[in-house]
Amino acid sequence: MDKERYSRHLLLPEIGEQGQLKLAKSRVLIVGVGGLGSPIALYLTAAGVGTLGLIDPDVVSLTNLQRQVLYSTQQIGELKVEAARKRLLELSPDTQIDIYPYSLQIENARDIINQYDIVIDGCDNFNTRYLINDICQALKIPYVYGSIGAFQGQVALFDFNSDKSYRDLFPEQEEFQSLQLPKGVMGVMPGVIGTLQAAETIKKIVGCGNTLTNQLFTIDLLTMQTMVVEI
Amino acid sequence: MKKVMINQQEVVIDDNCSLQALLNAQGINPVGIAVAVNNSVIKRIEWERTMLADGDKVMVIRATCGG
Repeated sequence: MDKERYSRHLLLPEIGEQGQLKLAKSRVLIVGVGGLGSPIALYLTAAGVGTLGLIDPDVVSLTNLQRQVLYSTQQIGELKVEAARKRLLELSPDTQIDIYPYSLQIENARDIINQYDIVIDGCDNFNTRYLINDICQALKIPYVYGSIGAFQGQVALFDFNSDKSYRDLFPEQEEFQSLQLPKGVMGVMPGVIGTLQAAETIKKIVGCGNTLTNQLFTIDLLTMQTMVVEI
Repeated sequence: MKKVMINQQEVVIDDNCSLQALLNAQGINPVGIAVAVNNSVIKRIEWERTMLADGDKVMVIRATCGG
């Protein structure tokens, strides 16, 4: 282990050498490397996570750059997972980056998710969230939920040691699929939520503090009101 | 009559008012929302049989799906 690189973690009794070794051995999958996935991938690579899987079919576009801080103007048109891997390998050689340049689908989800210890949600639609939730629940792999819209964001963690899941929060409804949610989002919003998802992931891997297990955290950046509710 | 808070606004309700009845009376579209009473999410299937008590704090949480 590179003790100099991780010295500020090693100084924390809650993390220390044991915690840092757990991070180095951990395998984390990020579904979607857009607004949420950008800070999640950057912070988990910086934190020394051993293996990071990135799954996303998209290419970098100009509209992404207002919030997707992994990418640069020169990378417009490149596959996000490839552009992300380049940036993350520059940040640290300690993290192995596995890339999947396609969407998570019912046909591939189980095989991909089964290779990881924890799955983080950085996707942009309800169907993928149900899919991540259901496969993680079946495999008992912890799921770190996050989503954003406009000035609002939400984070939760499901470890499936109880029967609680994302479906208890927002049950699947036909009307749900047609729900038109505005695409506008304040650029820092995914930074706030993605960073909290990364923090929950690190705490879960290391085993320190209290995580948002079966709890929903919400924040409204317009009013700065936050809330934690039991699911 | 009882008083409850819904998203931090006080509302007066009948003595036998369910969570579902409150949402209906407030004209809240049930699609894409979660509802918490006193900081605990109430499953949708329980909205009808969840009776509200004086002083209950109801929060309506809208789903977001961006990433």
